[in-house]
Amino acid sequence: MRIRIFALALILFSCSDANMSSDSTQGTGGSLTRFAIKDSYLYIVTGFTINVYSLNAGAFNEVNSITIGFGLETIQANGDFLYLGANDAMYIYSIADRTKPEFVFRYAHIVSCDPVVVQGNRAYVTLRTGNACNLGVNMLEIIDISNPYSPQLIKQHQMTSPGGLGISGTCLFVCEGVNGLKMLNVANDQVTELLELPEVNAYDVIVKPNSFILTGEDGIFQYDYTCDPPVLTLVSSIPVQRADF
Amino acid sequence: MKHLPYLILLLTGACTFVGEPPARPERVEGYVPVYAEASAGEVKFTSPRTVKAPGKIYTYGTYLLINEVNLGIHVYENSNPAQPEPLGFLEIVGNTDMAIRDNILYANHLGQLLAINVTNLSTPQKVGEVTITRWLLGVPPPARSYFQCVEPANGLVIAWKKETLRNPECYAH
Repeated sequence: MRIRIFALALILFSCSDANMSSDSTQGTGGSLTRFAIKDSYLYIVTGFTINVYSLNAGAFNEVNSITIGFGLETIQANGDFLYLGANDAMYIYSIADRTKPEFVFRYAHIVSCDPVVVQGNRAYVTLRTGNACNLGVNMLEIIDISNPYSPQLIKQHQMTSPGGLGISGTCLFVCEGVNGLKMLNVANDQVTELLELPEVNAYDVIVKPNSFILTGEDGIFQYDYTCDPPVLTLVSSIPVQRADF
Repeated sequence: MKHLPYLILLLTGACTFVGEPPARPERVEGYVPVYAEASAGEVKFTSPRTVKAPGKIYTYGTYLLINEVNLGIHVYENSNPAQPEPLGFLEIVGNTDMAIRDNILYANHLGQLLAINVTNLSTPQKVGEVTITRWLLGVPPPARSYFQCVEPANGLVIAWKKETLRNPECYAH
């Protein structure tokens, strides 16, 4: 009987659940992404350029490619601006004209590896000394971007090996690779370490208001959380079978 | 060979500092690049498989997508996060990044950008393809090893194979 129910479930899945829902028009990525969508444009960062793609039906093509510099790694779109994480700076570009990203500011720092996430008028950047990066620090920076033409560093917080990150409200999650995941409260631009998951390999995270999805070499873990009081509850995990080399 | 340092920088990623090899041994264990055929692999949706090398993740509606580095995308139905249901695997050779808008998945594939209609996941339809200007992001060689220098004309590097090298000119720090 159990097998029959399972078979029925399979049939139902193949008929209905293989259809993507139509109410959501756009998805959500982590912080370590090279793709960002704004309206009907896709922005891709290569190592050197921002490329712009028109996503209008029947007009899928590259409409622009702008050379930025070296070591571009991540992109976030927020309002009329793009925030690029590079290994020596955070770049801000205006996309007031969606097809023509225009240079706004280069927020330079010493050579590190750094994704950036943006919420409201704050940018959160991680700087890391990796095996491959000779220079650098292990730091979380909070940058005031109320005026994107003149960003101001307002807080630095020492971390261990920060990388991917995500934020919802005042709750910030920072992936620290082999050193796990940290949950921080960043209310009023002060950084308070709340909880950590030191055992899990943490690469990147997608944060929603009461839950997050964490990915890393050990698996993909879904947690429910509250920031106040700080609670983390494991909801499920998708295991990873490590490849043999 | 005057472009060599530039090419190595391109191919090893931004965070690797590349210089001259410590010495150039006559015979040494090292790595040779495995190039992808430009036409490698049709995009197709296959049955669920084990996650082995997870990369970036993406959510769309109730779906959770997990990149399998350079191989494709695992698709899960995640309306119940306590029990994500594996639906299948979208094979896209060379894939690392993705985004979805209005049921069209945009995914990189060996330096190309594919637009794939995923309204019905079991029969994904490629609806567009363009070259990504200056993508040039192959798989970097393993750190602290000699490797056979990459010839960009041969295509994108999708893997590295261990081999004995003679007088290798390239070294990844």
